[in-house]
Amino acid sequence: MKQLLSTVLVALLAVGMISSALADEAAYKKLHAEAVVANDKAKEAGGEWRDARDKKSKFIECGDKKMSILHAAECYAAKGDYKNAMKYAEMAKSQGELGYQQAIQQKNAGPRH
Amino acid sequence: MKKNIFAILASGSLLSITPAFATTQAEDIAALKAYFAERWPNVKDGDMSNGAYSLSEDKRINWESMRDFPPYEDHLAIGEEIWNTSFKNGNTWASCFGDDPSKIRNRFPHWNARDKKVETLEGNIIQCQKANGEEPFKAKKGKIAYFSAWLASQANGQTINVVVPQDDPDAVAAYEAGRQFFYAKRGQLNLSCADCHVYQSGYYARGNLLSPVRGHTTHFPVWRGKWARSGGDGFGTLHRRYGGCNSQVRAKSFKAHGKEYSNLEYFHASMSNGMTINAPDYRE
Amino acid sequence: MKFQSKSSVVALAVIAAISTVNVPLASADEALIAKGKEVSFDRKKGNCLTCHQIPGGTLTGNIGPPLIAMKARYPDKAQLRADIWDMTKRSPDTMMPPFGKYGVLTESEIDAVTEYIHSL
Ligand code: HEC
Ligand code: HEC
Repeated sequence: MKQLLSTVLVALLAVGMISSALADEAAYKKLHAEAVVANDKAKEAGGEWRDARDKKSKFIECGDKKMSILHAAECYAAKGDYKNAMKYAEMAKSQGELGYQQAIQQKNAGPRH
Repeated sequence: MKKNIFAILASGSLLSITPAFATTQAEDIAALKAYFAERWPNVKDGDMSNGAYSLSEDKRINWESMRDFPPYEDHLAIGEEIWNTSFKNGNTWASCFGDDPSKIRNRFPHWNARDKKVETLEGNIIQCQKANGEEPFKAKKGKIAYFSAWLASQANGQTINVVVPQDDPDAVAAYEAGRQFFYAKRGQLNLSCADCHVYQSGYYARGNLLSPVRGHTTHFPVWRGKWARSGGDGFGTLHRRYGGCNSQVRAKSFKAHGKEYSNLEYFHASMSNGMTINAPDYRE
Repeated sequence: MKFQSKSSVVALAVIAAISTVNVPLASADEALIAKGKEVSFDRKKGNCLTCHQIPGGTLTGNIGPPLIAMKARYPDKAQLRADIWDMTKRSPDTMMPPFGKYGVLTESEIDAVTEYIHSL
């Protein structure tokens, strides 16, 4: 009886862990897609920032490498570290949005001297 | 509304709200010259091609001692060799640029009305190689810089006169896109080229004395001590510098010789109209 | 320019000397101030020295005003924080990066920097 109970518990726990990992993964994938869209929009407006997703960027560390913010999100996701993956996907998305807004604000920039 | 306009007129700030697009190339140059002349009455317009060194005696002394033994002579010789080497198909560079190497640098940047785009010297060097089935040079440093520097050195003393045909709206639009690029804040640090090279020129960012935009393009490609220390030699093209100045404000840099930087060069080089070519030169 | 920067260094030194005479007792958390200094001097974080002279900072620029006597300048610490967070709000064309608005620094880093700058 005791044995059965603990197997059930373990099973429940495992299911719980798997499903929450799946939920994390799904939330991360959604955020990642939004970050890509936001940066595509910034690019279209000519306002992309250096570290959001450029391959040359060495801004965030993951493992023993340095990379762009979005690449770091991917790197952490691959390790199953969805907390950091979400954090950096969010940051990349925010940079895309801010870069876009900046480009639109500066559309008519010219001399003020 | 009427009241507002009067208030603005009265406060004398009408100039500052004049939209940017109302000015022409000639007006832009005149306004810049007047701005710098007012800030530094003792600095001669022509001396600004020496960049930050026109603004500080200390910096100038260091720089002059560097120039006593130019570190780039050997690379200029390679540039000349490139000019004298035919392509595998038997054609020479003259097939793209004409026979006289002293008459090349100063034709760029210019508006190509047929293809509706700004052409730059380095962009056309690469185009010439491709047209002749050659492997093109890397875009920003190495052989392209040696070759471009040698061509520029052949044009030393000539007066820069970038032409924007005012009757061609596409050419005017390209120039204006370059000007917008120059004055637009960008990157995570939210700074424009003009922030550093117009308004704050003459001030220090850390130990760097900021140079005025007037005279920026007279001496490119430059040999930079910093580039020499970062591996390889110190030569770099103007678009290499653009990339560096974009990424230091944490903006993504654009492709060398692509549309954005070519339009920027069209405006940027225009701002040195009336000055003489003095290339290559040393920069810290 | 050279002269201007030299004279402001002198001014800075004089003011720094005066202000050390009557240092007010720091009520704020020393550790927070120390962290704020670190973030302010770090070239990859605040990098304030690019533009500002700050006592103790070397190779400083002179694009912005020296950061000294900050309690007198900012009786209201919240205003100081707001300016560091986004100077463009008060001064749209400013050279000063909007450290908070553009996420150059995190909120807790800005808290620390505010505490440090206010202690100057
Ligand atoms: C944060 C300040 C900053 C911004 C913004 C900036 N630059 Fe620079 N730039 C520098 C510094 C520092 C140097 C090296 C010192 C000098 O010559 O001014 C430099 C040098 C240059 C030079 C070489 C000058 C010479 O005499 O050889 C060029 C050309 C140049 N910048 C163009 C640009 C352009 C175009 C932009 C906009 C895309 C830009 N810069 C934006 C700081 C800046
Ligand atoms: C790229 C240059 C630049 C950088 C970097 C910079 N500032 Fe500034 N800062 C300025 C300028 C210019 C001003 C003058 C105000 C204006 O432009 O409206 C200023 C003003 C200020 C003021 C107001 C001073 C006064 O007495 O009015 C404070 C406080 C300040 N900065 C703090 C900081 C801090 C803290 C940092 C680093 C986290 C920093 N700044 C980084 C350029 C800069």
